[in-house]
Amino acid sequence: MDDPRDLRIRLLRGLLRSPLGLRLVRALLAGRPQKPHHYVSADFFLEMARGAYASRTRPVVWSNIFVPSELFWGLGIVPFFPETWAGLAASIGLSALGVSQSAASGYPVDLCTVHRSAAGLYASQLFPRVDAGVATSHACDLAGQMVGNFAYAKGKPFFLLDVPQSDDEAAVDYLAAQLEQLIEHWCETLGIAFDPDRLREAIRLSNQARALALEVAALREAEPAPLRGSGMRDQLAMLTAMFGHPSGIRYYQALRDYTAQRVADGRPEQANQRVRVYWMHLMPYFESALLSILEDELGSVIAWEEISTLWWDELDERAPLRSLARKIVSLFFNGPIQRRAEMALRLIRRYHCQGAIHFSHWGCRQSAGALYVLRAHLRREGVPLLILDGDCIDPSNLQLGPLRTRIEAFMEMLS
Amino acid sequence: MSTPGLEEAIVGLFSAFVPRELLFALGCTPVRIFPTAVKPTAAEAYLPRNFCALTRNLLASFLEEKPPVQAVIFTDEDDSLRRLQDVWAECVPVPIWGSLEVPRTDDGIAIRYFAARLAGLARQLERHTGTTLTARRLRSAIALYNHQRRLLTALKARWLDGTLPTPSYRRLCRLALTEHPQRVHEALQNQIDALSTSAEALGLTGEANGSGMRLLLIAELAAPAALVRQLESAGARVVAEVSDLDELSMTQIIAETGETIDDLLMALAEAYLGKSPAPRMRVPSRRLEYLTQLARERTVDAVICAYSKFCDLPLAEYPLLKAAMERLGIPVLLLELEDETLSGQHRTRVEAFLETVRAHG
Ligand code: SF4
Ligand code: SF4
Repeated sequence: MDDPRDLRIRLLRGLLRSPLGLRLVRALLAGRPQKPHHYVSADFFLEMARGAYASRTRPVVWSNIFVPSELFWGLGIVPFFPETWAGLAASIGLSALGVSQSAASGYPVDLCTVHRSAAGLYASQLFPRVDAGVATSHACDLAGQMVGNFAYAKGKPFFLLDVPQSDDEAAVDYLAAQLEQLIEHWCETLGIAFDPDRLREAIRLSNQARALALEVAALREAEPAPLRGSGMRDQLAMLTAMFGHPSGIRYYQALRDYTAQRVADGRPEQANQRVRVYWMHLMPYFESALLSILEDELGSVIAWEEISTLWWDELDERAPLRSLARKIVSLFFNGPIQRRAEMALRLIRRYHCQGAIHFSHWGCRQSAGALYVLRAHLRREGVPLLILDGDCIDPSNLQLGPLRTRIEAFMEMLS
Repeated sequence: MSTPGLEEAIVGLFSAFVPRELLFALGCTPVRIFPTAVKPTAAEAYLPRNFCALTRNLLASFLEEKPPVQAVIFTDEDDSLRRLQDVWAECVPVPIWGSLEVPRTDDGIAIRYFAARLAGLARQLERHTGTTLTARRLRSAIALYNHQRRLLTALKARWLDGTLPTPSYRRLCRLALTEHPQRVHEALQNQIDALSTSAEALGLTGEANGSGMRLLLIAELAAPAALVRQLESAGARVVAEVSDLDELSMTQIIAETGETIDDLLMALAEAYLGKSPAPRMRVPSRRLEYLTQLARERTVDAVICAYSKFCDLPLAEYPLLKAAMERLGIPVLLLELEDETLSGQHRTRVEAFLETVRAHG
């Protein structure tokens, strides 16, 4: 109990596990200036927190972020995404706790801090109960391993969805068969009943949210850009958790209306817009001057972020599992890097970007390992790429001084 | 990696999951690539510094000098190899003849999927080699490698009973992965014959020296020879090595009875997915059960994990492994290595570890 953070952690543990505490958090959030869609997302995540921490009515399954959320909502399961919660913890200043606790649990320091922080939060008992674990094998090696570790440590079943790198029909069939097995496995181990109508309803909700999200994407083509890219750093959490839940529709409706209004009024969130850039990979989740230097001081507007890209086709409610399988394999982080590079080029053209910035999160092999090839692809099309080394979770691993110099030089070159 | 007198295309592999039988049946000599570069300097322009050290060294080896392979085959074994393949296609002038998806599970649907992907790889190789895959060719390639496995199993028994020194056993394992199988068989058979003759002449019983500390090494491709030397010259004895060099290579006999190509590919798929679990087979319980069981079977006193720096999966598994071994009273040391050499600091840590284990032994 010598750790001065202990009181804060105990308080947080108590808040998360009590319905009253979560209501208090909601009331505090309501008092803060927020945009309309933020109220929806705050409610959604608090509802998820209530289901995972404070209620025992539905099973809680820990998952990496790329297991389709439609599956959870369509089966009446509360998902818990350690990666998302690590990002959230960073945004409220808990990264140091997560990272230091993970070292105490024996995790080597060279691993990605998203997962180290999650491991530390887990060790600090800031995560909810777990009834089972599930993960896809694609995009990030560690994500699957870590969910597997947590489930193993708690003696809970773990299911790995093996995702092929190809996106052909054989790959979709293979994955769809595994999704079927997964549902059977959950029916057995979690005691849930599979209701195909409910899954179809989740697919319908997902498609409706998708249509709205695509409208947002179209509105963001406007010049000047209506939204600040730095304000969209939470989009990956939305794209991977809300689809299939009614909140997804409410969220994207609110975001669509908000964006449309900004466009109609000619009132962009960011006043100073000199250069348009495409942002690749993550952004710091904690408060950092990096993005305000880029946006406000230097007038670079992030016209689109890679992680805001809705990557899947409309789902087919007549073949829900094949549709979800297709959604999984078509992720732009899956397969050869050409897929990601080609998507980048499409989006750079669509959003009239003059350059691209890749935020290289420390320890992320899949993303940083692709840089040479990404740079070569973009260069061939005349798009300059700036690489910023940093950390989206751990503020002590983000050296603002050198990054600032590099951004300034890049902006000068672009303009 | 030279194969004088043999005409097949030499094809380099980076994974123990590619069935060598299939390549051999298609007129290739499959060889596992071991890094030859001393430092990864040549790879620095292509892969970041905090990227799997082994992968960087492998890339540097091909950028510095061209190992004698006509082509390579990749697998999607993990993020590092996926990215190596991307970079390779841009900067290494050695063609990629195939890219094999290897499932991370081994149930019926995974086996069928893997068999279908093997058929796809065969079609790709047929185009490159001009050889057509037939059931007869595939069956005899399986038989050939089964023979190699039997010879290696016999040698492993001699290593475990103390008749064959560890460096010799490891040299033969490496030879088996990197040379034409017919040459390998000759060398393995000669070693077996030599051991029998010398044992008879000297009246050796073949019982292992039971006094040394018994160690389990865990690595990816292979534990560094320098580490093995240090351990054994300090009086310890390596009794198991869980790496692609030994336990993680395909050691089981594969069914040769299939009548059609499909039957034989299914047999290969089942065997290769069912081999001892590497960290990438990511249901942690299975790998931990395997490692603890092996530690018990070989009555191991301590475990040394000699991992490539920035090799994520075993590093992320490490806390569970350590806890599982410690529950059995087996201490574990973790070394994160940049290359084949051991730094002074690594040597000191190894020495201190051995001393601690002895003190508590
Ligand atoms: S940053 Fe990279 S390694 Fe970390 S969770 Fe994301 S994809 Fe995985
Ligand atoms: S050392 Fe590890 S990360 Fe590198 S290729 Fe081997 S298994 Fe992959």
